[in-house]
Amino acid sequence: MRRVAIVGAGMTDFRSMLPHSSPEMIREAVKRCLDDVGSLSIRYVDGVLCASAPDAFDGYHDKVSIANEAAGAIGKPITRVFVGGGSGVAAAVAGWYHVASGLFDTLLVVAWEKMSPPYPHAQKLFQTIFEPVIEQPLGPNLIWIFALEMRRYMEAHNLTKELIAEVAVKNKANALDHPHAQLGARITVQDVLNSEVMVWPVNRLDISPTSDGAVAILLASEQEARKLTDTPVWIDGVATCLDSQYWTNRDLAFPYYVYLAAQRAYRMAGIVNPLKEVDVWEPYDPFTYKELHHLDGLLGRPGLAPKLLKEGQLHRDGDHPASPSGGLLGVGNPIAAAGLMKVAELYWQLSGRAGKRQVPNAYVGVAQAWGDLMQVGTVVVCRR
Amino acid sequence: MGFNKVYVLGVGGLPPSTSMRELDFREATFEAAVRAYADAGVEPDEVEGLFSAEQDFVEGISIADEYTPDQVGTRLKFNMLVAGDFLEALFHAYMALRSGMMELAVVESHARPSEIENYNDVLRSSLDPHCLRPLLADPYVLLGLDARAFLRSSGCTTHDLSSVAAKNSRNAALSGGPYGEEVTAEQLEEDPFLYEPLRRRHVARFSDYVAVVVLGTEKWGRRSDRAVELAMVWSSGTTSAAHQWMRSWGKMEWVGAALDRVRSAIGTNPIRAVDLIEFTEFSAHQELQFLSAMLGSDGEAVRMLRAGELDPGSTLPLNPSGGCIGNGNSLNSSGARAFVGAVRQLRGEAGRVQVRGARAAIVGSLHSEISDSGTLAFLRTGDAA
Amino acid sequence: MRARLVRFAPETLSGLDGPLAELLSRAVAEVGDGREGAWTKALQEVRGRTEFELPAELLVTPYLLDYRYRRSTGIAMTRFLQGLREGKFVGTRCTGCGRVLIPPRTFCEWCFRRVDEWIEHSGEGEVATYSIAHIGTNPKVRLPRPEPIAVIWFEGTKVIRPNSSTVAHAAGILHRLGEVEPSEIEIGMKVRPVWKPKEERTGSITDVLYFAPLRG
Repeated sequence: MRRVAIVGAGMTDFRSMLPHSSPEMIREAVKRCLDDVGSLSIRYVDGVLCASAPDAFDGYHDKVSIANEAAGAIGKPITRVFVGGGSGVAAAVAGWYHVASGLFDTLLVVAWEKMSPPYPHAQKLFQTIFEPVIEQPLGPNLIWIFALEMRRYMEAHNLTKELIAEVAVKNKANALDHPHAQLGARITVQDVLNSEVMVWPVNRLDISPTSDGAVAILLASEQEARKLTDTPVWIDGVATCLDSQYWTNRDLAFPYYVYLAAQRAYRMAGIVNPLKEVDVWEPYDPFTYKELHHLDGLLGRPGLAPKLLKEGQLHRDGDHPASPSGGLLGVGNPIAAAGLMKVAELYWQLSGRAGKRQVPNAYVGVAQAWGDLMQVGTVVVCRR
Repeated sequence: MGFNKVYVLGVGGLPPSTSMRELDFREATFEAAVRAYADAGVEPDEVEGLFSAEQDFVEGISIADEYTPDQVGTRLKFNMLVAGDFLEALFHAYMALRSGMMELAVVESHARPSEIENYNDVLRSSLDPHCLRPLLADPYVLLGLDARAFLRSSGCTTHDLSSVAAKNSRNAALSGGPYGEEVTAEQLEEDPFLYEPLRRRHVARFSDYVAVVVLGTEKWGRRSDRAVELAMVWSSGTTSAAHQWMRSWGKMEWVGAALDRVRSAIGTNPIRAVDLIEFTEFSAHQELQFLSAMLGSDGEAVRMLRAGELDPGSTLPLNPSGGCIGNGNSLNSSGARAFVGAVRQLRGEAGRVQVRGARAAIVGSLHSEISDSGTLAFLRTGDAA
Repeated sequence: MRARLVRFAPETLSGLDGPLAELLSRAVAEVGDGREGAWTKALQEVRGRTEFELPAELLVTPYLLDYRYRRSTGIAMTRFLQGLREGKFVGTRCTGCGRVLIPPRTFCEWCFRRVDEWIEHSGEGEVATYSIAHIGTNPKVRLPRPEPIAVIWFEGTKVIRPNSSTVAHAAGILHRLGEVEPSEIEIGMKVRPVWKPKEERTGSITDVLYFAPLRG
């Protein structure tokens, strides 16, 4: 297979209510990405793949048109992929096959989300992700299903809220070192437990914020990558996996679809023992328990991640650093952009550009996102 | 470095219809998938991934891909939703298969305009919220602007638009399309204007549609003597500006860029190599616009139309299926209907609209009714390939 | 649709609502006056840095997305909703894998085969997982009475994975719990559906008021 590299990345600050319009955010992320590759001209780029989650956030039908000019896609192919919360990493997966197909030598992958326009709150829109006939009439919101899944996960492994809260403490502290972070902070487990209960067992500090933001990465074929940078980061494994829509017919304690996606990506990348071979993890953490739940899936060992957390191994200086970026809990959660931020973090970590966040001896990294009705896992494996 | 060739192994769809009310969209898609797998002669178990083309506000569901996998048998498999026309999802599947990451995939798209009470409001919200939405109660008026600019630059008349619409209506009468009718251009000239210069039947009305297409690499293509080679797919956008107030009206700029890529992939000018074209004309002028862009000449397109060379059985049958005017605008599934029609032509299974000896075809689709972007797919059969 | 001009000055804040007002108030508190340069600085603090020079005026264009659909429920869901009207849960059973499918479908997503064996279920089952909602669709508004919600798995429909003893499948739906204190709810608790009076049922999931503990 043709090898594909990440050769540059750029992002806006993640904030609640950025003053930019969506095209302005996109343009800023793209410019920073191209500047990162030695002020590369947009003319050098063969095409654009973009991702953004529900059309309802921007209040736009068919919102690929928002990205068209801002991403420099005039006269070039531009398509938009979208798998709910999994979109950011799915964009990297789709970007990979654009280049690996031989049809593109360079490709810009852009993800953005503007969650502030919905008024009074984006949660109202999340109601429309549910089955319209038998679920929407119950008036569900998105936090319901996370709470249901979290409770099931806690039951399966006898987990306490105290332990799960440590994910928020860790990720928000990591985010203090991220220049674009929205919610970097030094907090305690007690702060999480004392924050108001949203949908029990989920408290406010268990949840990532609603954010605006955009991220861009530049992909290149091996030949182009060698010309553009001395530190390409290779995408060696990609996969997505979508489970049944009938989420009430499944056991939510283990994300089997994340497990399957990870196994496929490892097989592609030649990884046999992920716990030993992966140096940096960027699992999807829109909620505290999700980082552990997803890491269980990525490691293929139900209940292992909470043990690693307890031993301090998921910290940036631990043996298995998870979300060294600060994750969605710390950097912010502009949905599709947050997923691509995790891929960008792998690029920064594996190319030695992560500054104060740098994990020493990082050679192999895994980024993952998740979405839909607790249903889709998207995974990339990167190598220095 | 070798890249896989890609083949269409099987297609399955329900006929376009003004309403598919008797089935839920999942049940209808299941029927299409069962037909596609039977047509392809593969077991659903063997499929590695699903590429679907849906739009949230068309579905009436945010995050439309939640409801895609079960009915096509791809639960717990690779999934990618492309927010656009079917051919854009096909483009993604084509790349994934070429790259070697998978060998067997399905592409699915469905749309049910009959279940949307105010589709024009949906389409309107694809426009700028500050400057265009307040002005355009009906976004289709943009088609009128585009048609006017095209008529002026090409020398076509509204009668030519009626000729296009009449041809497609007559073709659909043969193919069984829901808006097929034996009608002449003169009769259509009696239609009232909707968006001047467009008359009522110059603009495609709506239909529900669903299709599933099975694609495979050589490994699979070799097993079937009915496989059709998908030699190239390419999407492109406008070359000037995507904003409605800055775009270049009256032209389809995207076609040129896409055509260049198809030409270099197949090593010849595709327009000379094909026996028929299927294109998703949401409005009669778009069909002529598309052909003009393909031929690189406005005058030649009009000449061919007036000489009847676009009719079935003539030089270059254009929309022998009846196009969107005859079969309905199935929104993001329109390209699927065109694609399935072309595959059936190349397999000699197009029934009363069969183009004799068809071995190669181009399928083109617009990203949406009002955008200057779209996708081309070039198909050929074994002996042409 | 109307556009509204918002000057970044303290006196205009009272005319605003929601998160925008909150954000701008914070900026005012930090900067203390309405001068344009100060606004820009404050906004950049709060909202992040950008290469753009921020305008001294901000426009808000309010608009409402209003799309209306009439979704056909098809074969399986129509029978399910009819069943609710009659006070029972209608499902299907796949002859391939043997699973009971509620909500029903006319095809099995495991076996990819047509399914046409119809069954009826009383709706008694167990709590697969639960939660207590303190908010609805606006997280800023607390519900006056926290609402217990749950996934209910119907009795006798579980398929257990032999090697790991985990649940591979169970027929089940999302619904509310009632007649129970939040502190009494447990995973595995046996429940039964509580129906609306027959004459009030319309063929909707809300024909079931909630699920209540099965006592005795």
